[in-house]
Amino acid sequence: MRSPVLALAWQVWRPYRRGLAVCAAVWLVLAALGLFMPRGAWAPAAPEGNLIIPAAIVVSALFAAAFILMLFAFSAVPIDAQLDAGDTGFPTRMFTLPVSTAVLTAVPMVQGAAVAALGWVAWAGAVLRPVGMDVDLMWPAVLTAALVAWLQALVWWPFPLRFLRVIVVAPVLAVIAMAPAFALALGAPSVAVTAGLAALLPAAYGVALVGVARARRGDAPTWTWPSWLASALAWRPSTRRAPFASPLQAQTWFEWRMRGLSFPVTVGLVAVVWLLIALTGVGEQVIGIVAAGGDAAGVSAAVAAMTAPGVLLVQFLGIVLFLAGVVGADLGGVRLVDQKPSGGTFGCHPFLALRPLTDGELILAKLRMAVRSTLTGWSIVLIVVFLALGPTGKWRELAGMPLLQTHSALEVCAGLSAGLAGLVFLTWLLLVGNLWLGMTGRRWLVRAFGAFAFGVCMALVLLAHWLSPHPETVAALMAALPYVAVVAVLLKLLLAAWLARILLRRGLIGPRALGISAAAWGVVVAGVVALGGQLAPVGGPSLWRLVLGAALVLPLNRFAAAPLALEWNRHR
Amino acid sequence: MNGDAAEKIIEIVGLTRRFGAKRALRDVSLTVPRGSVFGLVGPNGSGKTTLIKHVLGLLRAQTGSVRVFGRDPVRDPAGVLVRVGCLTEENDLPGWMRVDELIRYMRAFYPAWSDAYAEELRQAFALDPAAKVRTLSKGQRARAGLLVALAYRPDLLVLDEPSSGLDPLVRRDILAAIIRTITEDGRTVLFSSHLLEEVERVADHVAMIHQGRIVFDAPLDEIRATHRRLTLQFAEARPRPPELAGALAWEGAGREWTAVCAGQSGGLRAAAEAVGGRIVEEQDLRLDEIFLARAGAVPVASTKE
Repeated sequence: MRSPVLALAWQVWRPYRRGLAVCAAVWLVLAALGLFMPRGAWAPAAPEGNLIIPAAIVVSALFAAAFILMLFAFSAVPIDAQLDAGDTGFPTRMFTLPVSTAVLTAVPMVQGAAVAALGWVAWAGAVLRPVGMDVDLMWPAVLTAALVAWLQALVWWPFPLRFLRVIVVAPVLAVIAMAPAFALALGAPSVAVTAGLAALLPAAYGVALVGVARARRGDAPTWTWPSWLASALAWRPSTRRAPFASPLQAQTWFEWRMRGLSFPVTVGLVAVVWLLIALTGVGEQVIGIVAAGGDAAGVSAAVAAMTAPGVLLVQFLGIVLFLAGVVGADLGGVRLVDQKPSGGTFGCHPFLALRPLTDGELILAKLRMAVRSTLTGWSIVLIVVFLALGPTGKWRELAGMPLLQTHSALEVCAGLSAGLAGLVFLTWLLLVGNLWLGMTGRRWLVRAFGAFAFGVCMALVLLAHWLSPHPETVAALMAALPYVAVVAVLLKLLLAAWLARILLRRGLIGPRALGISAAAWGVVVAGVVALGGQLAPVGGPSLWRLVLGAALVLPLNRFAAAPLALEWNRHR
Repeated sequence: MNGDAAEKIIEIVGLTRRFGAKRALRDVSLTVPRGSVFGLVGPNGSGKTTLIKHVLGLLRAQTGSVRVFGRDPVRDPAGVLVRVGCLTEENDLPGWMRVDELIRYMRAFYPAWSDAYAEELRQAFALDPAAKVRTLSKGQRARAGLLVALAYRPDLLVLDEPSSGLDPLVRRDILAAIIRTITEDGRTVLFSSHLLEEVERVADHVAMIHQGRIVFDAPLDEIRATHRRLTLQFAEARPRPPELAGALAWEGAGREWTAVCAGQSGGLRAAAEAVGGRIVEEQDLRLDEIFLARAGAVPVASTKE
């Protein structure tokens, strides 16, 4: 390789070569789909019951996943870039190469922008247009290129303060992404929109060039006044904090400082947005429009049963649970937060591995941290819900919802309390349910599990859509479901017994702790069954169906696998 | 712990470790007695860190066994680590912690933690309690790591390349810490280092590891006594050095050749005479000279002495 440009391009994409091979295969399949799908298949008039619309969802999701990976592979924006950091996100190892900053900046930017534009052209030309979607080729291609170029410029620019990049990146990219839609809506010709977007490319290069040059010569600014201000505001008499009462308490504090704030902070950010939507009435207007449209029968029924503020509230609570699942995916990590993964591993950091604690105690600290995280997150939720409903008087509208009118006040209070307790518990479960995955410390396993979960979700989308017009199949499946559930519960318990045997044999858990854990799981199952029995409508699922459901849904083996995963990681 | 187990702080028997196709350790057996300062030397990639990771329980023995204080550090990490102080080359302390938070956090794990000693060390090392670890220089981070490794007066202090890349002042602090540790009865130090002068200064027992094998493992005095530099003269010029038993490395040409040899003085003299040579000069060797001869010249099929 004699050309520095080729060498730069090669070293940027090389770490992604295996992923890119998979992407290439996916794209070939998508292109083939575009060839074989009938024209007009994605149009809204597609006959109900066929698989076109869910197939479109699946295909779009696959395209998006492959496209994102390709962008990372050609843009010199590391896939694990720490956007919150103030330092430049440009790979600093490249600063020592005997290449001018102009070339150093231009190569990945041209690559990234070109791949983004060509990606859209390939997608639109090979898949969307053949199936009858009349999409523009030019301005979306230039738009994706501009988005990538500006993302690169802002990631590479050294910021004087942590988190400042996040604050800048979000509005800049949002404005660029929305500008064409506004311009077209105002009647601007497509050519003008394309030209305007194209002008953003050299501007992005200019910004990137200045940023990379500053980072390269070590001229990155640092603002110290925010930390002075924070210190001044947080001033307190210099008393020594009391020592931790136990190693477990110390480790719980450590975990809280490492990862405990992720959930409350994420919930807080979403809650602020939701509060604005709720206070301005925008959310209720949108729900009203959707319900009145007649296309979404489910929304209409939900509004009828719960009122528009009720639907908005349920959506918010759903988002909180979703966030718990997302944040929980990282909670099992045993890296330090500022530790960069190396050698393809998320391995247990020696600082953690060398704590004189058993694997069980390290996990227990995470479980306790998750309790604190859950309670903090839900405190924020309750405060925000109170602010949204209390001062505005919307709580009266909620109190009048038809769903509540069939119950006494006592029943409603009891139901709400039980429901809230259930949601808090479910949040905790979602936070800690996948600890085992992060604790393995194997990046390949995390990725494989992610791909598997993605595949399962896509398959479920297809299956659900296929089942919807086949009530006879649904009925047959529902009839077979109890037997399937019995077999699944038996398999789950067998697996649990096998894991328990391994845990005992390796000394990872004592017989007493094992007994307490099993009993706790049984108590939780019984509690969920009792709660389900109370909340279920008359003529709802029978007791044994509730037992089967609870036994299946509540995680058991994932908890049992956590000590094994940590041991596998801590003692390699 | 009583009897034999009490005397062997670390006991490694037949330890072999593979990373894929590469064998990092080959049938390593080693014993670190109580109260010793055990220096582990060897070239880069020889297996020192891998061996130390086994001692700390960070790696599981694939073949063989590792016992620290008579316990398996993998099966009983808490029982072993509570008596071990450790400072590694990377010394990756959490960057977000302040020094006082680090001290408060670490003291919770060690019943023997001494606040007075920790404060004494903090002042001696000039560590600002309000400073975040990420803002400390490399030397200051090493001192912070040393503080939290020493403040509970561990029974075993494990140092993996502790002074690598550090300035002489910090290296002095680390050596002082080792010396301070061994002056307290019954405490043991295991440390690996490239800096053989350091090893020679403080170690009383040295093991050299090369390509995953223990090349020698003996008290430092014995190592010095059994390695000599001999200058031999021959009656006629030789195109290559003779086959001298115990010779590790040769230099020279013609009639005069100099060898770094392993063996007792009398035996070496007899061996030299047997190949027709006459010893004209005999010198003691420094540890780095022995190391270079061993690392550079020995086909490492040679066994533990």
